[in-house]
Amino acid sequence: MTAQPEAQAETKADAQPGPDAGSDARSTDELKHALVESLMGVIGAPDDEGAASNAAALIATLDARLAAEAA
Amino acid sequence: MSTSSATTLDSPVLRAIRTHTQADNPSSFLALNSGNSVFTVPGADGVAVYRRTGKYLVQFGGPFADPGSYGRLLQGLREYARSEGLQLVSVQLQRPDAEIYREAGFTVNQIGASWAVHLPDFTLRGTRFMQLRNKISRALRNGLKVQEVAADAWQDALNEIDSAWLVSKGEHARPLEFLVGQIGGPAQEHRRLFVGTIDGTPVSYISYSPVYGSRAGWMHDLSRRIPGGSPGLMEAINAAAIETFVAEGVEWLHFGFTPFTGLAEENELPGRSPSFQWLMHFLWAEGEALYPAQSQLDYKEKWAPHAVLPEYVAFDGPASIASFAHIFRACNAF
Repeated sequence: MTAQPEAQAETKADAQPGPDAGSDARSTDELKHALVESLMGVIGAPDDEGAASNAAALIATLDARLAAEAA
Repeated sequence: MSTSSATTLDSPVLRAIRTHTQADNPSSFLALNSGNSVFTVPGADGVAVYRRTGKYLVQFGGPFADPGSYGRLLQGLREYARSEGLQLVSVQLQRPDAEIYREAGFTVNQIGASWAVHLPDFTLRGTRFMQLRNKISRALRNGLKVQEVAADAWQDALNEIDSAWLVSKGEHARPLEFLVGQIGGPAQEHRRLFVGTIDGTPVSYISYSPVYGSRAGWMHDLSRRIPGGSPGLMEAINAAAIETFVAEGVEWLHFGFTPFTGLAEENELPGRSPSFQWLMHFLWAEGEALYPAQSQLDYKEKWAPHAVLPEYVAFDGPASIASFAHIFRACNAF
């Protein structure tokens, strides 16, 4: 393998300020479910900028949530 | 800088993938697929290969470039995408590419892995391969004959196999492209084709593309078979090809990239998106409708690969679900 072990890699959400993970009332599992739904939404309407924006907001929120939970 | 749509063999692409192998991309020959666009920068030794789909520019691999030109090509492609109002996403990056992209500010995540067998260490002997040997024997008992052929003389037969295969995949099935191989065209003279026939009728084939770099050899690429035929057709063809390659002293047989496979925490780079990382694991477990990663890996693992090579996606900005989806759109998946 070409990969070098690097346990506990720093995440993007660690490195950059993101959305306040606590500002979304949904649970982490609900956010994960919504993320998958957002992917399906983009696949269903790939040129819909609203679907892309929704997915972008979700992944930013979930990144912040997961980083906060890992901290 | 300039872009062109032709990836003919008088283009710099073939020279670049043969010469600039620092990333050891086992799929680099896919850069020659028709339908790809090629990006170059005056004075830079190398190319970047991409497809445009919707408002996205999907790059295949990193630049195939001299180390002194790599950064210029990456930056040039980045600027070109922005000037065109396109979002850049790069896929099938190898670890050396991934580290450079991360340094350049991209968000980089593992997206899957490619798998390879070291042929000098390969054997079909032993209990581990008993089931595989049985499948191969069954195909041969059913009359399968395997031969290496020239593609142009077998084009009609290949078309018939392709048509039957596509029908079997369902009403809405579409043949994938971009990140899968092709047969025919000016690049065909560099590929190898093994065809299986039963009673003289072509029933299946596997195409192999050349692999350059430190794990040089061949990549098990496009493979198709008539549905409902004998078990073990693909396995028997691949075993015959392996026999040929071993006799020629070939070192590596690659099985190519499978998304969502080989995911491991130790493969991730600093700055990754934890959400995207979670999504890759979810799609491995539940993403059959998007891509049948588990069945693809089942086939590759039959051959007990010696190397698992992580592959990466890089987003020019935060990780993006829409960019990820457009990788599949560029592949004609939807």
